[in-house]
Amino acid sequence: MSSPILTRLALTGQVKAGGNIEARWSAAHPMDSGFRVDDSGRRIPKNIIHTVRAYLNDRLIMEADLGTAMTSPVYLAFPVLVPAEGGIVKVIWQDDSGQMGETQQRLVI
Amino acid sequence: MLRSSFLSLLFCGSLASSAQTVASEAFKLPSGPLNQLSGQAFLSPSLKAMQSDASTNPISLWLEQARSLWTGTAGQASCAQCHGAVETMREAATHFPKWSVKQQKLINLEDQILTCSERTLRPLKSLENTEVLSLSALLHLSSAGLPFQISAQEEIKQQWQVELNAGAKLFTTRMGRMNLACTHCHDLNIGKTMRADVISPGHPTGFPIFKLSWQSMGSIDRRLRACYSGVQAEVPAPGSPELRQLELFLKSRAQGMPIEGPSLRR
Repeated sequence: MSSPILTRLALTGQVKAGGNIEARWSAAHPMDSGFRVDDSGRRIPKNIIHTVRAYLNDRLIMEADLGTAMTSPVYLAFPVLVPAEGGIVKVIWQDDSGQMGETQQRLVI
Repeated sequence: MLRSSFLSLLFCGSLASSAQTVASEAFKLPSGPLNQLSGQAFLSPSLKAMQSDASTNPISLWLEQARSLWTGTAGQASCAQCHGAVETMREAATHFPKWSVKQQKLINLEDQILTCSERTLRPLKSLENTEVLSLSALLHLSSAGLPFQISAQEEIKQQWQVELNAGAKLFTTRMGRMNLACTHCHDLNIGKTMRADVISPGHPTGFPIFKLSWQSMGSIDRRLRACYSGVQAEVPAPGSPELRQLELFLKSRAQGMPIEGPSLRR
């Protein structure tokens, strides 16, 4: 069993209606590019997080297609326009091995 | 055509500028004696900035995992069941490595976490296991600010001294194809550059570390093995006695310096 991937979503900046904050998402995913070999010389199959989607109150606000040049841990930062009613920022990811994950944070105005 | 590509270059530059203002600051060695500086003093300004901001510091990932492991989920064994709140373990990381009478060898904090996990239904095996490293990171964080308390009780003092002496001997013994001892870099050439990095005195106050070149957390055990590999010596197996002896010597060499908690390194 592969160990669970650690992910973290942090919202930085002052949360007020109509203002912009920055969401910072990171995941300690191995991001195996497919070019590395293990100790016995066998090639480690490509396994990277290929898709990241961010939702604000279930509305898609950011979608990223990542490539093999991405660092590990993966780090993405994107702006979020805070709606008047507040809400939830949710980030969903999926990797080549089929593993998926979800992290969310509440916007408290 | 030329002009437009120049303009687009300018535009890219301005986008990246906020991230690069810190990065472009040159690294400066502090003035004064270098042999009592922690590894922190050898970080570039951009790494220092990354270290001090929890939302960009990758170690936050491991700390977050450790906090949930410590308190545990319902029905699962947790650290808190035996040890209580992590705040009560303030001194835990300061006493390692110590002589274990039961195992008749030196053990460090990661060894102790492995031993602890054997009492649960889900024993951990590897010293570099994510959960072991995250718990070690959390315990080192709660010990931050305290100095190492490296000493032994009277009844095991003799054995402990043998280990410490062995560590001191390793530190000053030439090894590997480079034919270098630890002391040649970390006592005699502090502050000079080696490849693209600046040599530090090698005080182990910032472990476990997130090393950018590893793209992961690592324990002092792994870092010492990396030094063996750096001087092209035969790399000892994880958990080897010589690694614990070296750790003991390094921590007694850093007596009085505060533990800084899990840190970023290049």
